[in-house]
Amino acid sequence: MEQIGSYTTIFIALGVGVFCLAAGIFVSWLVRPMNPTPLKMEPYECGEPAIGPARVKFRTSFYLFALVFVIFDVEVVFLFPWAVVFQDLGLFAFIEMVIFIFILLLGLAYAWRKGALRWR
Amino acid sequence: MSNWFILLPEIILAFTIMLVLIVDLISTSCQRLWLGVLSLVGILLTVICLWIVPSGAFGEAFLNDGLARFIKSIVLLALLLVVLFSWDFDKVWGRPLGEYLVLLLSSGLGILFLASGTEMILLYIGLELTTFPLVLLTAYCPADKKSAEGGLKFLVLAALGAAVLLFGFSLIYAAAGTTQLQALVPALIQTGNTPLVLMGLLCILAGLGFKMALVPFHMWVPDAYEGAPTAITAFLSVAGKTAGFVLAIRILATGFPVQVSEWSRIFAVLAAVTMCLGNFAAIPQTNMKRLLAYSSIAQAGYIVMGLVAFQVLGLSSILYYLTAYLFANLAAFGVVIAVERSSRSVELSAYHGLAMRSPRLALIMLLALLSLAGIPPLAGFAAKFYLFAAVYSEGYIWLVVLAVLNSALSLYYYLKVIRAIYIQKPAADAVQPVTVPLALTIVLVVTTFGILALGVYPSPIVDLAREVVVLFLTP
Amino acid sequence: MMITLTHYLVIGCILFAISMYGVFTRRNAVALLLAIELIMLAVALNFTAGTRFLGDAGGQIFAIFVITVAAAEAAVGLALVIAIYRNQKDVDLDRLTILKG
Repeated sequence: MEQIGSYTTIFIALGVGVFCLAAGIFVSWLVRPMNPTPLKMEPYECGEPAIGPARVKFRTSFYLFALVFVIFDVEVVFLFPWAVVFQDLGLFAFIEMVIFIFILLLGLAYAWRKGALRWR
Repeated sequence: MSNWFILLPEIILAFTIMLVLIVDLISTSCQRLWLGVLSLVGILLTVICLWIVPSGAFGEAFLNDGLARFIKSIVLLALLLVVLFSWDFDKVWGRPLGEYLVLLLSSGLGILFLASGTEMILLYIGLELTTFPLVLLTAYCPADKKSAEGGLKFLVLAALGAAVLLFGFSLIYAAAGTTQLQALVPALIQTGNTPLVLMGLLCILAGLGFKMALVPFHMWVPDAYEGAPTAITAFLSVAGKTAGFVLAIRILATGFPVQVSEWSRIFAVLAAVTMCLGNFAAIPQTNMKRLLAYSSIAQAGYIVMGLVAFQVLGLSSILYYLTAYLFANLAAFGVVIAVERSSRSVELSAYHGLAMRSPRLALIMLLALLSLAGIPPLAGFAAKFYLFAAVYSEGYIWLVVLAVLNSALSLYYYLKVIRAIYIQKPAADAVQPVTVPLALTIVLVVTTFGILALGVYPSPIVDLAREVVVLFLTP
Repeated sequence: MMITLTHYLVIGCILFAISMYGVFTRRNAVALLLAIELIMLAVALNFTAGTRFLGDAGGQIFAIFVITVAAAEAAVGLALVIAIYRNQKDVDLDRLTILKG
């Protein structure tokens, strides 16, 4: 029951926040005049009218970079637990990690050499 | 400090993989011979180390026992022969050889870990290390639409199978609180067969079904086998299957011996359905790779019977069957590769009159197919004999009757190929003998010798398999 | 009300059921891969919850491995999908039908 009590305040705060936001939007919708003209529908002061639809197809080169990035990005997950207890594990774990990173670097070198990192 | 020496074979193979990758990076294209030689030397060193290192456990996760050693020997032999199959892969298929060998060896390394793993995490990583390179190798020629399509289907279904297996692991973990397979047994006795445990076990069985290509989960097999380069099809059919079965033996025998009555009944039904469907679907096939794919599904149905008869005799006959299957299937695929090289076709029509063009190739294909069908005195007969005897002694008489009927059925489509080779006339433009390069000849000689030797004199391997299984079942 | 391991497992099972529904109804290869990734997430949730309630660190380690392998799987899958898309401009599995029979 303790836990529920502490969550209740959060939910109440959340409810109040949502209510204030919704009430403000609702009241302004209620009182404002509505007569749009084409000039009013233009983007106001900040930027150009958009050209073309937002959902364009990306070049496949982006995907290639993304794939290489995702792999090396996720492998960092293994470095965090190691870094936390680095002092306790000592030299042996350090050597193991060096081997692990060496294998990753080998992969990176391979991707580089085979031209996966060249923009085409 | 644990005993790192036990991991030596795996370390050597991993080192070989990195070396091949580095050599591929720095060498020019004319030095490609070194890649193959390096791989072969690496595999041979791994085999030698495998028999030198003492048996024992590395931590709680890795166990180098007799069973692991037996399976690893089979897989490394398959790896060796498949590297020889693909000796001039880059010339025939026009794709780089270095990456190909790296992926092939990585897949083999994954199976080595599967054979030794006694812990869910290691088994899962080993499984994915086995599967992903095989998927990439299946789709290795993406310009060929069949290859890419087979690879994508293989990936989706293999990932689904692994995910279902993993979900089963997570449920079992939630019930037992350990990822260690030996520690599961007392924990699960304590909880009893709660719905949570049974649901986890069911998910694990389904995942294993995907890996062993049993029937409701077999859909990827024909497409992946047909799409893949033929050498990879051979590796998939032999090593991929071995990986599935060793995974099943490890998980079920180590983790769930108490629930044996639950899963052996399920496997009995799956075995029956698998062999019937595999054999019936193989009959109308005219593409050799597809025919052998369905035949391999049927063979998986026979092998699963060894899990149904979960005793010393059943498990040891699985090991013997896998050995016999390795030689017969690699011999058959060797002939398919030879014919494909000369006629650029894997259709049955390319085999018409092969006996007149290349009588020795025809004879090897005859021996391989008869061994797969289980005709004495070839390896397949002894394998089937031991397997059926094991199932019979466990009291599954209906299953044995069904299996014998299925063997007769399978003879029909194997004889269809033999008829094409020996009786039908060759096409007018195909009268040249099929040329066989040296590396392929070595494989064909080794596998033919294996088929004959295992059939005529099976006792050394049978004794070894039994000894290994007795040690495995009585810790 | 206490949140117990069962609650997490029920959520895991619901996620599993949703992704199974996705696997059986979607025919687009990317959508299928997404559904399979969802199973992996359900698994990671089960394992972390198991560690929290059962006091065994193995589950959390397993969850880390599951996440990394899922990333590798996505990479392999997307690489294949791109290769196929380049060749035939279509990744709908029902229309990939050269291999039949």
